[in-house]
Amino acid sequence: MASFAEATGDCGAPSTSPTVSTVRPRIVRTYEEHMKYIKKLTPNSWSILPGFVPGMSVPGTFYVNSRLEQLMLSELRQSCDGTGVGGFIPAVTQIANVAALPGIVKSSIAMPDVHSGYGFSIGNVAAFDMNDKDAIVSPGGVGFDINCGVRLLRTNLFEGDIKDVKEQLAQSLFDHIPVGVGSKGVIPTSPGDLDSALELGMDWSLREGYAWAEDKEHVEEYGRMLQADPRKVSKRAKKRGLPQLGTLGAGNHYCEIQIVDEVHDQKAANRMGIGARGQVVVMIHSGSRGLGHQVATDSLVEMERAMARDGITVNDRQLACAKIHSTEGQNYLAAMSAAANFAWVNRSAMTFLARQTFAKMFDSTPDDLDMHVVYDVSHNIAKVEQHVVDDQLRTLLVHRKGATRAFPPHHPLIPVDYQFTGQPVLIGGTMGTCSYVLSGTQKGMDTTFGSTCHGAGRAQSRAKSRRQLSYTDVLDNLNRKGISIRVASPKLVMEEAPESYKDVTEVVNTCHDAGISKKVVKLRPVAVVKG
Amino acid sequence: MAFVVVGGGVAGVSVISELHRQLQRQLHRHTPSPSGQKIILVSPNATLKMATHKDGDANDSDANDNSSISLLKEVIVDDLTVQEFRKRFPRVDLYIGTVTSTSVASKTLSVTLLPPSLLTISINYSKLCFCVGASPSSGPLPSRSWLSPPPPPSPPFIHSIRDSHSISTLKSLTNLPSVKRIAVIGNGGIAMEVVHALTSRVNDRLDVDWIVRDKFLGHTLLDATAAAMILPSLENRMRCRDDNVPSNAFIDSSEDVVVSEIVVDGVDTAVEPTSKKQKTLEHLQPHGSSLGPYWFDKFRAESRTKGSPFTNARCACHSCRPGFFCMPNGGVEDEMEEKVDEGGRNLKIIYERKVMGFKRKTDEQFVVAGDLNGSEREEVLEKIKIVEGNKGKNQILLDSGEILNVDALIIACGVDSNHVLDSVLGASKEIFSRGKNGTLKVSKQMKCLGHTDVFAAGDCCDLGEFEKENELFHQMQLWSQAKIEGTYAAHCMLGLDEELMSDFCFEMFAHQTTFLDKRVALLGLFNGQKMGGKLNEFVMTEEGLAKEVSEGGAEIKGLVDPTCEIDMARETPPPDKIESIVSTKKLAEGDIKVLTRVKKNKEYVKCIVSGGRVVGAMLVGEAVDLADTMEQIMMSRINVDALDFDLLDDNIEIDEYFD
Repeated sequence: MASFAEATGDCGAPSTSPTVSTVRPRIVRTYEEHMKYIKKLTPNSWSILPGFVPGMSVPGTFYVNSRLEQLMLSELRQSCDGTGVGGFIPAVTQIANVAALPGIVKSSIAMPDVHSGYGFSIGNVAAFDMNDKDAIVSPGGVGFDINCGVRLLRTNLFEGDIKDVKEQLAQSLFDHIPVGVGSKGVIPTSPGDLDSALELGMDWSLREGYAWAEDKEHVEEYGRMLQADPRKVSKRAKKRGLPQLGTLGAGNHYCEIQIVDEVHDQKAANRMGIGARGQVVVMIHSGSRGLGHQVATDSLVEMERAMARDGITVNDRQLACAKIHSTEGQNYLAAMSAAANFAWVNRSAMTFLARQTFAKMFDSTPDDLDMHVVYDVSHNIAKVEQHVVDDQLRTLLVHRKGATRAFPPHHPLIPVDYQFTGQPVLIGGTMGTCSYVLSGTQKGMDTTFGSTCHGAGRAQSRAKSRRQLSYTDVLDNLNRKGISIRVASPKLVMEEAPESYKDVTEVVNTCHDAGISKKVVKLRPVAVVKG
Repeated sequence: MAFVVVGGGVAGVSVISELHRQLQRQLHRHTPSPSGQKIILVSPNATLKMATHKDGDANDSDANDNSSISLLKEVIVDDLTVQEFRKRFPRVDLYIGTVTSTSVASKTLSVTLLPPSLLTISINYSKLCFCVGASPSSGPLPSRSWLSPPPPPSPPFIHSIRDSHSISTLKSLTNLPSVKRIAVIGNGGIAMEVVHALTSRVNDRLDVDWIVRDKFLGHTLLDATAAAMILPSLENRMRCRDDNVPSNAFIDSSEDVVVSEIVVDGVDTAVEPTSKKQKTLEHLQPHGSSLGPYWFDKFRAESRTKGSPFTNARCACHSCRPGFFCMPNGGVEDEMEEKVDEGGRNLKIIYERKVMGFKRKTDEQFVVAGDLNGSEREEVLEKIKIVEGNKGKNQILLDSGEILNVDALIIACGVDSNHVLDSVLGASKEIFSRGKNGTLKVSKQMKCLGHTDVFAAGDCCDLGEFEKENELFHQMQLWSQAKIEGTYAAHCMLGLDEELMSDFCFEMFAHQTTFLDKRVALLGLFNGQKMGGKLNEFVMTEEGLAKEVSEGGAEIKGLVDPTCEIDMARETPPPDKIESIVSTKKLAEGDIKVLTRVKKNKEYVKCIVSGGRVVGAMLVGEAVDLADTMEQIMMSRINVDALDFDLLDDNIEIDEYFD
């Protein structure tokens, strides 16, 4: 079959092997040898010392509680002791590999919900010095679903108000929030409109009349990244994105009607307008889906080609990257910003539709129902931010993949209403499980570049125990047919198999205990609309 | 401008629907032009087909029907009467009649309206789209003429199934007292639907012989493992009337003996089964049956090659022609309840058999089948001479030498467009380029090759151009494809295709359906299509795993439930503790791997990885939840080589990994 990249020139897969090797070979060590490079710092944090993998210029850091720590280490142990089947790299190693990327500052940091991903683990935060000419940007550090994020709308309704109409409400939301198609005239379907959305983000939504001016203030980046350039988004990415504009997207995206269940920080909750138990809120969790995916893939291809030219060496091919100020780096940031804008337009569209749905159902107006945006956070993105490192103010490109920005009180980039309480952080648990609202802290700003976890992702059912089983006749039979039945590499052997590990409450508590974010409220869902 | 569409099936109505919608939008935005736009539909049937996406927003007149968050969506088809159609599409002129000829030079169609009118009219077009579908091919029949009904009063022996119109004929056929035994030949979606229709009939006893050339059912859309996974749930649904007496006979075809009771050594079914084998069977026992394991044992051992009584055969394949049966999600159980007490129907599935010869009552001898070639044909011709048929009976000769007496024969062996297009094009047929099975070859703008104003969509067109350009796309005659083709053709007719970029739907094959209670999602080259015969053969017939799955064999390896307490270094865990088995096979030629994950009775995933990228995926059961991630990975052409075997490892959660 002809190479797809050649056929269209527009897209493709990372090539099978670059002409000059830019990937360091994997080192093989025993678990004990590895453990010499891992040190516990505090009850809630561990350090991965340089030398764990080659090329580390800074240590790695991961935040865990005692149970989550077991998981991390088990995973590592299994990968050392196992038959080495498959290409799965444990999170610990991925964190360390990121610490070996050129220009990284301070540490490669991992949140309690960290788990393996493409290149970077999900839950990894990595900041690179914008003034270091060798510093890189990597699409793997952002993720494929660019600007996958969460938005929270409040209402002045209470659980009792919606109790009897819950199903109709959910049905109505489902009918209005497109799971496939744009709604009447609200969402553009032409490529011209798509280009505007990519460039202008929420400013486009505002212009078209379905976002409120005050919404913008309550969104990271004010819902528009200025570096966006639709011309850097490939035609194929636009093709994939066009049908999805204004939709929830499939997979793990959802819209939930939730109730304020517990209030942990009354003052902060009041500031956000969600301080009353039993209050109804709406949480929207979605991203850029196919468009983001394609942007990421396009960039990975482009960057892989440039790595040899620029003399960049990495420990893992999936860590394809480019110098921030190179053409490839800038192209990526421009395209990534456009994809981010796309996701914000989507969330704005759904905000509009949710407002309409509620207004209709309760014969009122969204304004009267106080359906304001509490906040909107992104957990797959790279941003230019200023941070103090070693008493110096530095300008950094902060990659957050499966991690959320959590700026503290008095930070200039957060809205006026949250100046005293800190930036709201929205943690959507898995669809159907509880969610949280947190706030940023100074400690977080100082230790994790103002970042915290993002949620549990899919709640995983009990960790499976895999053992190397002895071969039986049938296995031999299958082997003779040329099928290698790999009894999937032993992993995660737990003393007790928990119902679900990395569950959101545990993760949020760990962050709270580590002081990098503070719990404000806990939310529980009463209805879910799934994309 | 007159936009004319010929054909009231899924494709035709999709074209009309999208033309209608786009023109409404134009009207909405601008003053209507004085010359006006006309939309005309010519349909030979008074019943029209409307396809919508399940859970979709197709009622929304502003919706772009081909846009979707995912290429994968389930299609449902409804019948529309003329009145309903007119109400929904008030701007469309509908003619019920047959096109008897087409003149490209004068851009006119000659149409003969249906009785009682029988008028012949001439319709001018600016843009024309053929959506005439296809008609049943004669398959193994000696010649096409065998499909034509004999003069009355003899009931027709041979039937072909084309649409819901035919199914009512089928129903009346089965009510004839002289019809006691029906044979069905074919293994595609239509055959499955026909068999279902026949076996879910109420009233008297009817024997059905289903002759299947392949090793497993649902050949076009499944593979051996998937079929094996679905079949037990089919069998599990069987109900029996009395204790220990199956209501359905079990036919042993070698002895032609009907066994109505199965008694095995007087085993008391209340006794706790002790052997491993028993334990396995118990696990697979039909729900609600009071028969005990041994009955099922005998049944299962035979089920591969002999008859298997399955009442309440349920196959809802939405990919097939609409209107055959309705499989609502709610109400399925109710339907089954009703049928349990009806008389028995005997279904015998005959696997891996071809029909070699046919003999009607009026024939002296067997006539050789029409789909044999060269030396095979010679061989059969020789053999057939010495076979003594029974004069006065309709008979079928199988390649095993077995002769079946049948009262009626149904052919469901695929369709082709030769006949219908020849008659519609008339003399113009010479100037149209034809593709496989007589279809019209079209460009990537759905234009008939060599023409600017004539388009084609649906089963009657050949999407070879798309197949060539789009690596992960291949054509199958499914409603879901007919629908998107129709919508896209409308955009092309209006010159909007560039702007709307709606050819995106041809980027990758994507189809979703349900077989019994198992969802099935098919993506890209799910059975190694377009990748060479060897791979296709392997992925289709990989029976090692299929056998494991269907027989609940204890020797399954893989992921083990951590609550299992045995010492696994020394013993094999019991089957119910082994959760899933993941495997990978690298083929000898080419950089191709086949990865599979099987969770007994729950899910089956098969990925075909070529050059490190996933090019095809089949997902059955719970695994369909992975479909969205698979679609993203495939569309992005992500290299998954690094993950290798772990791609399907449950612990990896690939939907998170590639998030």
